[in-house]
Amino acid sequence: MNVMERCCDKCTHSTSTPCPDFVTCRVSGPLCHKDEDCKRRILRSVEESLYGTAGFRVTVGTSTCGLASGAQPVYDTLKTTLEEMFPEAKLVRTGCMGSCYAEVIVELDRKGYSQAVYNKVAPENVRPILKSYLSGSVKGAYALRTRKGNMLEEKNIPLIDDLPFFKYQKRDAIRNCGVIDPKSIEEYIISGGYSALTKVLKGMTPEEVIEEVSKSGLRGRGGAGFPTGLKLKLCRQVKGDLKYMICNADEGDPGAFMNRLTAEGDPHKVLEGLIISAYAIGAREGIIFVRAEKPLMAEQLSHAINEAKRYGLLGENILGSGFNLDVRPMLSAGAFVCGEETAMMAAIEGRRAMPRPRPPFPATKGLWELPTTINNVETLAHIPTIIVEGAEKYSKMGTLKSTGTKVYCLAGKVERTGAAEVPIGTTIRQLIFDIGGGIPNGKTFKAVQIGGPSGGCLPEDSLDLPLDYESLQEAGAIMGSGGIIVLDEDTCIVDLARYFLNFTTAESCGKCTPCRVGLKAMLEVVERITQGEGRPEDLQTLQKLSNVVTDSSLCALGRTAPNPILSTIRYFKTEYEAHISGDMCPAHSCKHFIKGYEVDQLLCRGCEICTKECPANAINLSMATGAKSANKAQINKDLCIKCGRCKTSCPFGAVKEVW
Amino acid sequence: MSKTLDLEIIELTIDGIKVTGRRDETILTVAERNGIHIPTLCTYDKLTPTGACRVCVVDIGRKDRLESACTTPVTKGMVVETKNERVLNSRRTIVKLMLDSLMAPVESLVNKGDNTLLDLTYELGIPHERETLIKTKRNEKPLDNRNPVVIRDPNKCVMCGRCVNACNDHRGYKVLNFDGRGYEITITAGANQHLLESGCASCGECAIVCPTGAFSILERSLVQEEIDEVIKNGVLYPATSLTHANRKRLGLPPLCEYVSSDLEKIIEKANLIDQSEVGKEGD
Repeated sequence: MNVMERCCDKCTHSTSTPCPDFVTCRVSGPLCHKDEDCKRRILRSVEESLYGTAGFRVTVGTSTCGLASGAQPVYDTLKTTLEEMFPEAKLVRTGCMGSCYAEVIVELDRKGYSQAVYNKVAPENVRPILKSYLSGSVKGAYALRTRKGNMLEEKNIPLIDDLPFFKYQKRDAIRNCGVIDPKSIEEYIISGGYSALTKVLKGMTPEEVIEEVSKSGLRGRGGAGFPTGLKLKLCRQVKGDLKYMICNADEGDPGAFMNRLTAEGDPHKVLEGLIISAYAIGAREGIIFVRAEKPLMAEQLSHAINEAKRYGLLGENILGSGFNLDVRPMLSAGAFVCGEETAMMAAIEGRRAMPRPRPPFPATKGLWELPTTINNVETLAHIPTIIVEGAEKYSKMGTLKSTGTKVYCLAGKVERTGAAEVPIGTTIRQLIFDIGGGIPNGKTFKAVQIGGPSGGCLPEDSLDLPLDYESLQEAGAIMGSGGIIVLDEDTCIVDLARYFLNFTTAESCGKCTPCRVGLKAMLEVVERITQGEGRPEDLQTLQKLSNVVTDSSLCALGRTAPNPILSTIRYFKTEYEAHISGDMCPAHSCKHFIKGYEVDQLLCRGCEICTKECPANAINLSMATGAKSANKAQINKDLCIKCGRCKTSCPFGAVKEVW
Repeated sequence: MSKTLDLEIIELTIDGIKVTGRRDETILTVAERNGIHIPTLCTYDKLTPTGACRVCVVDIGRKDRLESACTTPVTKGMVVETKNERVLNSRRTIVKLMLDSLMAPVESLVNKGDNTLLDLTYELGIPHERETLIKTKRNEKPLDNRNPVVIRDPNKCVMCGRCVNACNDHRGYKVLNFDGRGYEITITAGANQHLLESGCASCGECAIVCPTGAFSILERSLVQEEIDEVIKNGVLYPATSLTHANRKRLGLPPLCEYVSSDLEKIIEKANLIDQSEVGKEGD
């Protein structure tokens, strides 16, 4: 029997007449009639849908990140190996736990055994791992989710919550990610899912829902941090029987993937948040605007919608409450500007994604000129928890002005990359050094770019800054989507600023002049600086242009695009000056400042590869001073055109740049 | 929102002058009614303002941003400054950026009717000879003069979007639209075609609204006689009327409304374009 099926003929529930206590009824029911036999059967079905008939559950993280690290061959190998070794085992594809550095992750969980997590699994490791686990040893495991105390080698393996990456986290939005099967509505319901929806539809008025969300202090996780409760309230207050609830799943920042992770690992939670918000504002139609470049995310969300429809959690008369909601996914064509809500609505309407001035705000005139509320994936994923656990508990996390938790994506030069959910107000240092494990390869920390291309670049002094909306704004960065890109000493700050400005310049929709032309003009100046043609007045020019672009652009894309430039000038002015007047790139990264190449006479073996590669015939073999036998390559500085082909072609790493 | 609320008369201050306006009016409307001039570019009488060009930015007391006067509704007690240093600096820079991104020289931006961009440079005191803020010119695009009545020179376009607005929302032909992103955005007709092949009705509205002459009406067209004849026969093209611009200047309404597009006939008569070329892929 399936968890979602009726236990027997006595059950009076169906999708058209569902049990008002849907979740309890499904998981520990039945509530419509008393029958011990039925109850047993339901409990067994819960057990079986998680562990299969033989009590052995094997999960593989197959999010986009897992697949990119090679999860598919691991999954295939697991499937064939299990068929041979343990055919009754339940093999499940889950989302991502956030620990990208440890992919591919396989988790083995047998009844009575400790639950073991294995990292960096390759297809050839599958058999030994399974063999040793089934024989009662967790040798080679990365961590244990639960410790039963009866397995070999257990003492040597840490619990997953003791691992530094997980220790400081407080997972709410992504707590099911990597644990449940995102394709299975049963597993979501067993984990407590849709109980918020049941609670809302059973006994809460829309106003009460809004009140609860307001009390929790939840703020929009999409970037601007607008209070979610207020947003719902403003839309609720507008009269009209046609309203829209939109979920913005069009995540496009370089280095940010928390929305993808959330929706791929736990799409039902996002959907549940969407249904509750729609109920709160009185919307009858919901749209999930999802990026087409993230096909798995789109697939999981569409699947979740279909499943929810199948079991009466979406559609007409949801759970017998009289509330109707239809949700459909919509693929975006992929533009950074779609993060701006008015541009996104234009795209949904089938027009070109260009923002329009606000007011009128979407709450009064949104999609098709009807009242609309737009929330980010992560914001919606918090709502079920707030409803179930109460606003008070949620508001205790985080800081006074920014409550709750936020998922940050760690990328760049950091030991443990991935997504970590921590209470807002955690310092940057904790995030990068405690959770992220610091800078790899013994390099030193230089700066951190927070908030994606519209964010700012903060130096070492700011490491103790709490990560909340206000503090970041003050420091010249923004919360944005929560992308954290860590940079080490090898990164040139000017080049970094150029990279982000190049991104926003290319992604500008082109509607308003300051953003379209102003950013290009700024990019020209920055490019000039990285190419060694900077002028003394360039910093001032950048500042002036930044002010105009920030002041007068139409939407938030333009208004925040100069942030990387402004913050880097603020904190790393010397680096700009070194490029402009010192004729050097302190990080040894901008190729233009290479003065030439030289051959390390000790490493050179005279193989003549570089002499053949050199397009300017600048390399000759000659006896080096003091060398006794072999001929060594010598670069004629007058002929050298600094193309760098000698360096890339040298098999012994003997050619080095001179800075 | 109830209607009474919209009609409520509210007080606000523009440039130190106490003025009154209705809640549904924009800063620009109220300012103009009170004789305060705010320069504009993308706004045009009958078109819905889009706030695209940002020339009309004004200071409404927000630290983080200026707002466009053409789109921002007035609110009670609002204090607007239209000519302080911050505003003027932004406005001048914006117009400079616009001019610097053009391929065509400023002096060539001549339109018979509404010569707004060139006027703006005089009004804001922007010298035509100066160091440019941006060196990269946009990719040069060929002149589209196949259509005997509406000529398009993309190199003069500053992307104010008036033509798109006029073609889509005002006229409803939906032939013109934007194409591309960022700096290389262009106005495109149909599926990136010549005007003639794009389904353009040659109504000429784009040329009427264009502030730079990127769209223009052929002045002494070779087909004038033929066109006159068609007009006489009842198939009317307002854009073909040479007097149109003058009429506008005198405050007269456009000569006539668009009736039917039968451009092929005119071309046939005029024998202006080799028939074998029509419908071919544009060069």
